[in-house]
Amino acid sequence: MAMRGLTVFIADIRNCRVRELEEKRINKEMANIRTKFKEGSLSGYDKKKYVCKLLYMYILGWDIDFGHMEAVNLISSPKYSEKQIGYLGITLLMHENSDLVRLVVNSIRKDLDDNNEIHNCLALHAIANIGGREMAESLASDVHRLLVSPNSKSFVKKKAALTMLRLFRKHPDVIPAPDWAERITNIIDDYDLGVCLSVTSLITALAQQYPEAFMMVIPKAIMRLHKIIVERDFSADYVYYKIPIPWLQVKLLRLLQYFPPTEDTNMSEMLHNVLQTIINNSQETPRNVQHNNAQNAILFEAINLAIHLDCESEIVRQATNILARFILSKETNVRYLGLETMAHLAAVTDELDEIKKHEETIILSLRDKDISVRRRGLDLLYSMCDVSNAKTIVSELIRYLHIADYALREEMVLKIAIMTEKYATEHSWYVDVILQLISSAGDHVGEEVWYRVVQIVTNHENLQEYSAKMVLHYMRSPHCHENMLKVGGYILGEYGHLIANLPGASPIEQFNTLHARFGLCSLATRALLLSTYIKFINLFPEIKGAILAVFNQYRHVLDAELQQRACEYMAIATMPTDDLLQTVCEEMPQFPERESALLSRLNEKSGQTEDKRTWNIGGKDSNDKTPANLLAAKERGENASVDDLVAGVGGVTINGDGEAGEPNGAAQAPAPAPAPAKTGLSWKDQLAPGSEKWYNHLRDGADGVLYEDSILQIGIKSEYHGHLGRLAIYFGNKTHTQLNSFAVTVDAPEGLVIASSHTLATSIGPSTQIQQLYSLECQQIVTDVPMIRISYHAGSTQSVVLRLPVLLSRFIEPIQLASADFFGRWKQIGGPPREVQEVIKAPGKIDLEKARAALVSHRLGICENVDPKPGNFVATGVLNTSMSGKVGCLLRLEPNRDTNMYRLTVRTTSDVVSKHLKEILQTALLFNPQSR
Amino acid sequence: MRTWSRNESNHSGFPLWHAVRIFCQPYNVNYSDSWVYQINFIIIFNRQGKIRLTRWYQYMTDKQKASLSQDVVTQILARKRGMCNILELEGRREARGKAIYKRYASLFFCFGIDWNDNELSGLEVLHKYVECLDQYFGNVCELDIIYNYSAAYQVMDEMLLGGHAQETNKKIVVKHCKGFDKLEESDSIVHNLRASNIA
Repeated sequence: MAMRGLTVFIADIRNCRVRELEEKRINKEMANIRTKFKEGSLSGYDKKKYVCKLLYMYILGWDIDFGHMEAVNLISSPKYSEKQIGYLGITLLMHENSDLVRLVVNSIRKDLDDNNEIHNCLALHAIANIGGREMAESLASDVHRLLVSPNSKSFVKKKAALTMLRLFRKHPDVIPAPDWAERITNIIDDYDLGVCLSVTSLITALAQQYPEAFMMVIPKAIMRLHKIIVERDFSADYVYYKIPIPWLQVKLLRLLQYFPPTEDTNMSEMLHNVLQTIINNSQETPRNVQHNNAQNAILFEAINLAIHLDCESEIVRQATNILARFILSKETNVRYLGLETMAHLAAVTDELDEIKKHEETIILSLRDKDISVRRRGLDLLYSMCDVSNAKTIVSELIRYLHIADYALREEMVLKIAIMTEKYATEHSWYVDVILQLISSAGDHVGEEVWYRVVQIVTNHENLQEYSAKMVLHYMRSPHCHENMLKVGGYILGEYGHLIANLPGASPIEQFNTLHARFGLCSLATRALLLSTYIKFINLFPEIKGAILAVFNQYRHVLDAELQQRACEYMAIATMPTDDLLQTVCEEMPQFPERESALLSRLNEKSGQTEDKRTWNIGGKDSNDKTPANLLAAKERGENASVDDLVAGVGGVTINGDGEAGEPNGAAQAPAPAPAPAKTGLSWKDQLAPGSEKWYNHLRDGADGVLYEDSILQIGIKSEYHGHLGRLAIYFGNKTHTQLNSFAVTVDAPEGLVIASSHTLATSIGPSTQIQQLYSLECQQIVTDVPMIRISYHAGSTQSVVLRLPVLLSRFIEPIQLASADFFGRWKQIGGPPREVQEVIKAPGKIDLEKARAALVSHRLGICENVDPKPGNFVATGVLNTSMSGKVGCLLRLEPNRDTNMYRLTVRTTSDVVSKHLKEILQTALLFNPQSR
Repeated sequence: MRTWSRNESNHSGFPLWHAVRIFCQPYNVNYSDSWVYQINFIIIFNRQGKIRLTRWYQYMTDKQKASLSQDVVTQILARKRGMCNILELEGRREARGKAIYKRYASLFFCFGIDWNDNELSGLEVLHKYVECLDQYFGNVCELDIIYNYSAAYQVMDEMLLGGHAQETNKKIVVKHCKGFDKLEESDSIVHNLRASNIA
């Protein structure tokens, strides 16, 4: 931006030694520019020069209230240098709500559509920096086009991704993210690491809002990490002090923290491998600061992810050892981050022993010379506090409170109050600590703290006498803070009578203690004390005289509130009978249990109102509502309404380990039924058209084609044994080009575990076939079939959703029973609900062989010569599940040739199985292969 | 783990006594703003506290910007050597988070980041920015940034967009910026030719 006028101006300003001179020079220049702009007819060069001068003044902190229009004009200049300054001008001078945004939207759109990538980039910069609703609504689709178009250069793509992110953050409703999910996710595979980095940021944002739609990013992220960290496959240009692109690693590790742990065993093994490698790499401390920082940045993120995955794992144990070393480090940054990450661990784990070993070091960190470190130490102590160490920690903190920074004290008081309440094992300890806190921390005690004390004392009868005694004691000390007076006033008014017989605590002495400080405190406290006095009249009629004197005096004060109270109380106290007085001063009812006001205050302080954190500071219970946990709950098929989250999780656990080994259908029945409905629903809607016919042919367990179109052919082969099974799926590429970004996700209903044996390739070469093996395990009774979703990129991104013919009957083993056995069991099971009967109209003429084949194909053993009537079928089998035990299945099929009907009777030891098996067989009998 | 048993009886009546009125404000979690960790602002200032460059990636009024940057600058200048590069910004509703900073010669570079963002990763982005400036200007100093502030912004925008790192490859960043300069030069050649024609 070589412009002599500008250089001279900047030099002039720099020569101004005093602010007044600078102001003078600035004002002169502003006046000059204003006239120039008013005259109009400036050349592009001059306009640019003046806008540059204005921008310089803006950077120096002077208010700029004109020149915006000139910057807007420069944007549409054909010359790059003028355009660039115009864009810089609007990004600095305008904000998202500015009225002028409307004026630039059209110029920006023109530049977005331009064939010149440089103009595209300038336009994207402007949107990314200003990006309000106006822009989101009119430009989002253009930005998306630049992002996914195969013709975009990577340096445009990067910018488009981050611009999109900005628009999404500001106005998520404008972006149809779930519709774009697939194409956006595929860009993460881009060879260019810069593109990958930008897109990862974008996906992190989108995935938080639409976790289900972005599930498919999990394997991609893991593979990318594996490639960089374990396989060490990356471009050398992206190595930063021996560490390959640390920022991308950090971003990917962070992204995974927004999802529940993956269930795919291969993937989790890969991820484990990645984390272990990171931990191993961190055993040495590099000399170079940058190298060390980059390495630690990754390490800390990896530890956070490991904690998220499983906070009791071996990796986390190793990490704890590293952290223990870090909090002793000489380097302040490392100490700071060590404490911070340890607090994260302490906040989610049950196993605090490892951390407790370092209690002394952590307490020492409260005396660090750096306030940032002191803050982290405080947070960690708060997080690691439990019943066993509460006393030590609380007493340390109270001791430290006197020398702590003013900025820290209020938070400390809140935290001490919460810990004391949460972990108190003796009543007296709670009262002692809280009163000590109120008397020593004085002004830093928020209102909430003393409200809470009152609440707790009122609700716990056995605290009342002791606290009354103690407040009286504290109020007699020479330095009694007003807050103490408030607590004291309340407690004595309610429970003063409990200690009235103790020496030094007679009614008049209690009154005198309070009244001695009456004149020195604020109006609000005085009002509170007046209420105490009226209660005293009720409790101790003998001191009525002294109190009435006070009321009388206060009937004439200027403050309306005090005056009103005094008058009212006076009137009540001097009534002929005590009835009203007694009613008004009845003992306070207990407070209903609510969320502690202290906790909400603390949460408010930490301002997490807009923050979807991966974790919160504080005990384990404060971490149940983080997004990933919510998602995990959602995954289990619960409506993730925050309120019934706890109930939901509880229910699932009970069902999960519900009486394993005992085929008690009633107990397990509700478990699997509602679960798949939720996750399966969205997929079912998008089932590939026409896939039904292939599916129906495969229902009876045959091997064959599951799906075929002009691009892809999918076939399956399967075998089953007991509750286990193996499934091979073949994917054939029928085209002559490579299919890229190939990804397969399987959605298994709850109770059925599907694991892939190895990782699938991400592309299929032309006219080749790849195979994927899955192992199946039936854990519980499952009434839904798994779904599979295949997506690939061939020109555009396509996806196919199919049902896998893994029916419940696959896990039945056929058995043969003799007549006596059969009828014995048949009777044992009895009628409904464990019996289900259905009359089925045969599709064609009754064909006994076909009926027999249908039963056999669903793995039932035909028992010959059991049914007295020939032509009737009797079949038996045992359904195997690994967690819910075995279910015996018996059935009778009675064909009636005259009416062309079947009567099917199914009796099993579980009513769910009976119903479901009947449905399977009914479909099988109705199925007419001729309609092929 | 609380020792005192919770009394089962539930009193529905509210306390008559008006001094203890509100115990618990309803606490609503507001998830309207999706949360991705990002850089919220960049402030570059010198040892005298004079601001050389700022970029705001979150919306604030000019007044808020001025007071926040003043606050950050004063607090950072007050910190001693050997303290960590992280400053926690407390008590600011509009920017609750941390400032990470580093000093290079006479200049302090400071990024405002979100509370749970990865501090070290941010610090290294900052370092990378300085490296890029260094390569672009060739041994950068405060004067380069003063006189060529638009170039400094250009390098910044090539590296960071909307508060996120977009390119960390120094070669690519500097190559693009030099490319822009060529475009600019060709503009100014045309301008000079025109100017001489008019003369």
